[in-house]
Amino acid sequence: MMTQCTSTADAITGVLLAGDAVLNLSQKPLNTVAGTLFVTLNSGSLCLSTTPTVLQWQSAFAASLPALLLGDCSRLVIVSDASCDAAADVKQHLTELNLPFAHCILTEDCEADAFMDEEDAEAVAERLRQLGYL
Amino acid sequence: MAGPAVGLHCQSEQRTCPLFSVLPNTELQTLTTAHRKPFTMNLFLLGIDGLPRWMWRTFADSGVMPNSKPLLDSGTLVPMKSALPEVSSAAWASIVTGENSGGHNVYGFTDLMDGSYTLGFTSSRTFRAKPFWARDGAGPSLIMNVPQTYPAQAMNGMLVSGFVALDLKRAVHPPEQLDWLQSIDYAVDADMSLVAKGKQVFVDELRRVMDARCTALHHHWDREAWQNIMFVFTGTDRLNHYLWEDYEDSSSPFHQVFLDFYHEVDRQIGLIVDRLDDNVTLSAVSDHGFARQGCSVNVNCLLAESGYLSLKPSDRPSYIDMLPETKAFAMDPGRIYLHREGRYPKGGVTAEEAESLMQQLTRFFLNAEVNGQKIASEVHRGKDVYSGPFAHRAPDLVVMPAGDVALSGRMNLSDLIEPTAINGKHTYVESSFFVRGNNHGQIPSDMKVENVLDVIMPAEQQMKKAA
Repeated sequence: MMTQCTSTADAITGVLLAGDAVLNLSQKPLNTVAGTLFVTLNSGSLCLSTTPTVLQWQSAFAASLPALLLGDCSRLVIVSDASCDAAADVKQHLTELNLPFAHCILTEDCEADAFMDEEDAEAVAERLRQLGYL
Repeated sequence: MAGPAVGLHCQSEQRTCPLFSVLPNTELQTLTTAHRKPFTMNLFLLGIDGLPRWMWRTFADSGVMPNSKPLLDSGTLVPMKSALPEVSSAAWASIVTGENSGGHNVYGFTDLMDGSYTLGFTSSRTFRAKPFWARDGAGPSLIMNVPQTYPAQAMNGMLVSGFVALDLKRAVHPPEQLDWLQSIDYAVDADMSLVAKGKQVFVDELRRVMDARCTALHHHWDREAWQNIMFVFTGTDRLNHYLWEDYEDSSSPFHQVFLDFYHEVDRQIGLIVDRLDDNVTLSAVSDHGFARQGCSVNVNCLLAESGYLSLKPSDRPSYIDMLPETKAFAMDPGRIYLHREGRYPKGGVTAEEAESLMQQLTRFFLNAEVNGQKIASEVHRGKDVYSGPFAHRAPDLVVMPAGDVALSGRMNLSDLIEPTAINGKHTYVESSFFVRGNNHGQIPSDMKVENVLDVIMPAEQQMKKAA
């Protein structure tokens, strides 16, 4: 029922599937494609919108969670930082309601990732050129 | 905006990001030796990159690979189909996860970050399915030189990454094994630039690298009781790429050099097989077949000449340079993506247009000729050949090359036929699958790389599928 993964804000589409709606608790803009569904607030109730939205979660919203999954949305993807009390609260409600969801924890953007810097990227490119891939 | 390195560009309004940055779960914890129980070996999975099934059988029977003769006679060797397209990164990912690209998310060595034109290189961090050694309950495993496992991820056992590994320090888990590997001059990759200094120098380099890898394999094999070992020879692929013409020409001064390299690979295979008892499932696989490469056709150049692809002028053409009128573009080697609205920032192909455009492109590729030679034998629909949670990232079409044509997805429109020293190419069919032992499953009649785990660890695969 629940999947946990990690991503950066830039690469979030790599974890989104058709039918997902994003509940963004991270306070960061996400690099989603046009048409991505977001959970947003309308007159005190949660609803879906294609407008990218950052949500300030309140437990009172929980009652409107089931209605989100009645239409085009088949799974909620909670996006948050690693330590986020609101995400824990949402997950608890979704679990109690037996609703499908995933929790995506945002990690640092790739510029801060020591895995591959510009020099490394060029070295990989050269290896791939030598085998005819680039 | 120019990207950070040659050929790497990103959408101007986005930040430069030269890699796929989605990180996998990191719930795997390193187990200390003190926590380990004694294990008996269940599986030895040997990789021989790019060794065609027919060549292995021929070399075994002719004496080029004498240790392979009794080995192959003791089990079952069948032809296997590679990944679509037949690229090593996707094929090895399928072999070790049991998924096709729609399941593990590796479609090639390069990909564009979703929603952007940022070119990224796939890596161990691109995997969205767990390799067999990282699954819950997997015993301690020794994993060496498996492509697409860089940077090394934490796991139960030891892993030394394979191609495209850059830095040994980040290619080794656990890191305390680094010093020993450095002490034997273990190289994460052969220096392929040496081919410019001559084929003998190049082959000597392949031998040097292979010798160190084999030394490391036996050293670490002795060190602990492993439940699974996987070790991949990759020099065979490099040799085939650059010396295939010498293999085919028995009068070439490098013909015997080619055979000698395989003789040495076979000697190493013999040393491995001698250490295995009958209780171990022994499997040997290659990720794709090989054949002569007569020419390399740049698919993006072909698309541009026919009006499907338009780039703005650039000294270093890349995907960011595509103009909105672009209908389709290619990535290595024959992955075709429609420039779809919603998927790419400047994409204009609507969902309504997509079907007719795919039909048009399919006819185009099947009829296209370069120098009087057809370039495509088949064109597959992505939705027909990929399945799994990441199938939505698949190419729209996969073009399979015809005859001795190789397809290139370079975003460089200067040469329709690219100059290259490479004279051997991958094939989709005729990779090798060998298995012997008492506990393996049934071999499918249409064996594919994603079926390897089903055959060599059937119980674990059934449990995974049931879960």
